[in-house]
Amino acid sequence: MTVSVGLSVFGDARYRAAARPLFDDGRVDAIEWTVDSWLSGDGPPGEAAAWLAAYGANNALIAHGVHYPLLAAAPDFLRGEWLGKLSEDVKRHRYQGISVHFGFATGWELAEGAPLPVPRCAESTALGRDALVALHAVAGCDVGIENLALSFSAGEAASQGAFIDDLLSPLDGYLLLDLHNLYCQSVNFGIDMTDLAKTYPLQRVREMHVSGGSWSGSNGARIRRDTHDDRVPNAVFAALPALRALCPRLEFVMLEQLPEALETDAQVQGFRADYQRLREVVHGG
Amino acid sequence: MADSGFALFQSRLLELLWEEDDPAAIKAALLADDDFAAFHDYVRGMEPRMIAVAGALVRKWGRAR
Repeated sequence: MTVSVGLSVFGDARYRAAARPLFDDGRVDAIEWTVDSWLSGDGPPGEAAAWLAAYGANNALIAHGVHYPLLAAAPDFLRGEWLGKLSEDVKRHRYQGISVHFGFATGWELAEGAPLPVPRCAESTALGRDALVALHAVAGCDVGIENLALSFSAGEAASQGAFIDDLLSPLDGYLLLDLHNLYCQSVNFGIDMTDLAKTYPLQRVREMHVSGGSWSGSNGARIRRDTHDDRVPNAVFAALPALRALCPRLEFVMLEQLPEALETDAQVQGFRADYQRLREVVHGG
Repeated sequence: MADSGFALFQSRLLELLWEEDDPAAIKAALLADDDFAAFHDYVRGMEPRMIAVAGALVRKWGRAR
């Protein structure tokens, strides 16, 4: 299968300025749009809207949702609100699929947050399956789940793939394999990256994310974090060819970087260099 | 489906990650609550350094209702 290399785009002016030459040179095969950017604005600005229209018409636009409460037990109204906004979004854009994050971020007194791991049990499995069915009903396209960068233990890291497979099975959904998230789990728990990847349902992978991150200290230990604010590690690039060979349904490989990390000329040049390197790794030159 | 206390467990975990800095105290609080007995093995496996990361994430990105 032909694999498209592209960008996870943002409407932010810094991002558009950094990515524009890549579009102008015809080096962007496909794009991913973070649908719940509606939380921070009214929608994509003109240039990004034009990208979405053009790539959508060419079957080269895929969607991603950061804040959908897939495995949050309590705040069902948040799921309804999110799906209500998505129902308007999908009238304007033609997506090849939509993926959301594994985990939960909301509950107690919090209505927004970062995704955290969830213990696998009958209730969490039923919750996640129902939430995917609801997502599919509104999106009208294939639905997927992205693997999480954080686990509370090595055992949880090694079993997340089976949990995700269990959630995806009823709808034959797809896995968005985030290679940097996999790298985080690999280095944080001392598990070989390819061995860890093999615990995921790789036959379900339609999309990969490639990004950078950062290190943080905690109790004297270095922890790899999924912050999308730095260059892609060499280890991620190095792992990509072998992982691609294990994913027969792979269609899209997307570079992710936050606009906040595109402030300086060095950051912009690094972003473009990473993208070119990604194209060379996937397309062979 | 039997109620394992899953929703309550998630809620309490978020609350503790938001309010408590000490990973050991978070584990102790969860293990002391019999309502979460179904998740005690899971809690015992939680590594303190990863609890600390989770707490930092919750405090950085968490937004109240």
